[in-house]
Amino acid sequence: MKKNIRKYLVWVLIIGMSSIAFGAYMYNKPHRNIAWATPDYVRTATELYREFDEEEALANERYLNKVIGVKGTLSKIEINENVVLVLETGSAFGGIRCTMTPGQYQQLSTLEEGMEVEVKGVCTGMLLDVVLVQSVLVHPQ
Amino acid sequence: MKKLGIILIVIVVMIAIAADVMAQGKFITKNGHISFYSEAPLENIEAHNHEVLSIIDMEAKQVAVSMLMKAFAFEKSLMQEHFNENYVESDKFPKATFKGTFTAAESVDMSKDGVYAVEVSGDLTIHGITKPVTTQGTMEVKEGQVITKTVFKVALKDYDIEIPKVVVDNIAGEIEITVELQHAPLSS
Repeated sequence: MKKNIRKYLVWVLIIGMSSIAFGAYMYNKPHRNIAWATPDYVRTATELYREFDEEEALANERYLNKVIGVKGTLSKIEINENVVLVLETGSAFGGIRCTMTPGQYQQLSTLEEGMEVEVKGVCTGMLLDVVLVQSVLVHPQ
Repeated sequence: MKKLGIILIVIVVMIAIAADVMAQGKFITKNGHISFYSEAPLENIEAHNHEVLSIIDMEAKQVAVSMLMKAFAFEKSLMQEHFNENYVESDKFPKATFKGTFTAAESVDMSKDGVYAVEVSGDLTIHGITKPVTTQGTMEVKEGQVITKTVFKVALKDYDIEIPKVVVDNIAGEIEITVELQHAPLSS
């Protein structure tokens, strides 16, 4: 009888500790690592902008919170709190705005307006531009 | 005939100047900073959005601010998930907006640097719900830019935002919102 109770308690302890460990992991789990992520979609800047401009609700459903790879011509580099790359879309009203994660200074410093670039980031939706956050430079590297 | 020509030229030039002046009244930022903060027993709730769009019309004294909820960054990934999936339901309501007007105690002189106390009033829409909001703030003219700052509190239940008591044991259920928008002239 004693042996059985002890085995039982050991199991309860193991399950209990695992639950706590799991809970702690979930609570502290790191943000998605975009540098390692494969994009859910790859689009040209022009295509992505057109999809949002023509049917925003549909584009939201498809792209919100997904990792999107965007290819296009660099129209502007902004140095604010973070570096922001703006890709041309052929529209005068908006582009693709990609807020870059910190730590890419070496790669970003080689960029010039007019260059062809590829960026991947998390799509948050459209204001005047389509906005990607947590963005990583894919090309040129 | 000559007279008509001259009058026409004068009118065109006046319209051009007027259009230029009107364009000068508008200022824009696409990387405005809005953050919110609330103390909570387990962990303080704090998030920052650096992609806020704001357009201010200095002549009409109007402001329009727009932001994507998914652009609010939290330190903890799990908190960010709960915020988007459960609290503000950002798949259903991807944006929060504010449209309003402002009044300054003294008239704002755009030609030189200065700081002015302003009151901003308008409609704030979060989670699909619109409520009137009035807040005090400052408007700074600095090197041709317009920097607006304000801090105000919002009651979560006003916008049907439900956070379980386990996470936020805050009787008031209020969150403090800090706004800093640095606008540059809108080039037409």
